[in-house]
Amino acid sequence: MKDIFLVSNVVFKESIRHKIILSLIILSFLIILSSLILDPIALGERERLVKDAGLSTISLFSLLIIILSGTRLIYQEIEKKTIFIIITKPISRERLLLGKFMGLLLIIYSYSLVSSLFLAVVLFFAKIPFSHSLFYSLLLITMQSTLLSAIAIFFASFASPVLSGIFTLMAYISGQFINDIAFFIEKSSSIIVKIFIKFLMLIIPNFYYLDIKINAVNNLPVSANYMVFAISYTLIYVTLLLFASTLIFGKKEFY
Amino acid sequence: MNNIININNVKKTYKMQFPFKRIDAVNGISFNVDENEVFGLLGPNGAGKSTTLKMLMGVIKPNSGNIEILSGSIIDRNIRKKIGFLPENPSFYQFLTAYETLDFIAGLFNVPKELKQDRIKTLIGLVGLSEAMHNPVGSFSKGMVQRLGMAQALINDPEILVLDEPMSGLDPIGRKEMKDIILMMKRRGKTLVFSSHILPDIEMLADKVCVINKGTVVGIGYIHDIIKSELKEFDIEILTNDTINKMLEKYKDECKYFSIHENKIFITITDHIKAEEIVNLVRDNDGKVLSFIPRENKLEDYFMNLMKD
Ligand SMILES: Nc1ncnc2c1ncn2[C@@H]1O[C@H](COP(=O)(O)OP(=O)(O)OP(=O)(O)O)[C@@H](O)[C@H]1O
Ligand SMILES: [Mg+2]
Repeated sequence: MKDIFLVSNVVFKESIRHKIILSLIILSFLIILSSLILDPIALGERERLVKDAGLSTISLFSLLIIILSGTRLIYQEIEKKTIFIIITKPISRERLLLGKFMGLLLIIYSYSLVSSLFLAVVLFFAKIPFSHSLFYSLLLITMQSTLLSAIAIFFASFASPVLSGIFTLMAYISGQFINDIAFFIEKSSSIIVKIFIKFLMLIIPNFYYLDIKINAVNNLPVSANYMVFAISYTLIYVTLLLFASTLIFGKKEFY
Repeated sequence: MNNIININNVKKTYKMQFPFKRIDAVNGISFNVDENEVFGLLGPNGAGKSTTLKMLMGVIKPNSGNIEILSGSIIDRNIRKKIGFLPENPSFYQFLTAYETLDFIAGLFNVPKELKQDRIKTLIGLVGLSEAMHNPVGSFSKGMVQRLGMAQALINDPEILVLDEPMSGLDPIGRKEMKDIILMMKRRGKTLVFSSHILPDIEMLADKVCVINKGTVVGIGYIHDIIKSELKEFDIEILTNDTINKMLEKYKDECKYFSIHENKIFITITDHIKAEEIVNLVRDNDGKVLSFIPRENKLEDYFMNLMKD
């Protein structure tokens, strides 16, 4: 357990000393803040606008941070040959990979926490109540980040940073729309198309489940059952991805 | 003596994707390393030294053959605990300081907390990085990175030290310091395997040398045997006269080199008895031996001979 922590600690330290990551974080704060200044079109819209801007910004910047730091995590080790130092030490490859994943989580959870707090402070000064559904929405954004991190690690375990960045982004986008597409195709009669879509729905991570911004913005309640479902879905998916990643990474040779 | 590394008929072919090509980097290499031995891998660029060491360290898998280290396999984490490895051109996390880097690696080896700090500081001092200890590795020069590489290889006080080109990128002082570290480890009973293409380094440090070329072992032996078995040569320069010229005629065929320039004769001869006869003959006949230089045919000749075929 200790060696996983050591690796994740290094990932965290490396990332926060990276200027790009730090600039992204600051930029996202500025965007959240600027939503206050925007003039609402209609009365009562202001609350929705600030919440929506806050949640969307946190979600988007989490994605950016994961793609930027996550996809580089493993490939850079190979490219820069730091892997030769680490892999010959008494740590198993599985733990090394898990350490990388944990490190990525450490970064993204810190960002989630800090930006949520920042949003809370902004809402407080704007005299907008911090609702249950807003809290749940933030929690599911963190789940979305967890899932995205696992996807990034999975692709990074075999592809180059640029490719795995693109793959991760594609997984995210297709995961956003998979429900819409499924709904649309459901109307088509071809059985093959239907089976194909069912299959896609099974393997493509469904980010739609983790997006409850609408509830948060409109103050609609979210049931505890739904939260349990969404979190379980994420955890199962993450476990499967990590398992596959360690299998691939364990067999890899480093030249 | 105890065999602690056995490499047996190991082969490795690299498959390149683009352009599609197979490179037989190692073509059936075998050797053993004894306990407390300094074992030098010598070979020209591209001979397969690094590939062999990477297989020894489990970074890549051989296509065939087998490797035993400390009576086990490098896959075993408990065996890796007892080994220090310095890869060729080592590289570290750019944003960590030298101290943080060693702290991290000491952690992976589970170095006890009460020992850790002292050991890191001692090693940093040993490799001469005390002043740069808290600077990020990204700001290090090539030689400084190499020094840090040596420090991290020693952090677990290993039984076996595997060093791929330990002296590369270092200034003369750095080279001397690395050599001293290697000799110190030998004195402390450690076993060392290192690669180099620099003959004097091998000659000075290694007990045993394994010469490889194009992925195969072309020669292997103890340094002192190699040096002994190679013949000595004598370069003799003589101030001569007609009598001596005549008398030396009969030695002409025995000499590797023989030439007369005005009143001087230059001779290179391998037989030391004949060499002494010549010297005596010159002295007895009013000539003068201007110089008599015994030249040892050392590792260089051995190496060059092996490379010829
Ligand atoms: N990653 C790789 N992909 C393809 N071929 C490789 C790779 N690494 C090494 N080779 C080839 O394998 C052969 C042996 O290389 P290796 O690095 O083991 O040599 P070396 O003896 O360490 O040389 P040097 O003294 O230059 O370090 C060379 O022909 C090299 O081109
Ligand atoms: Mg090499």
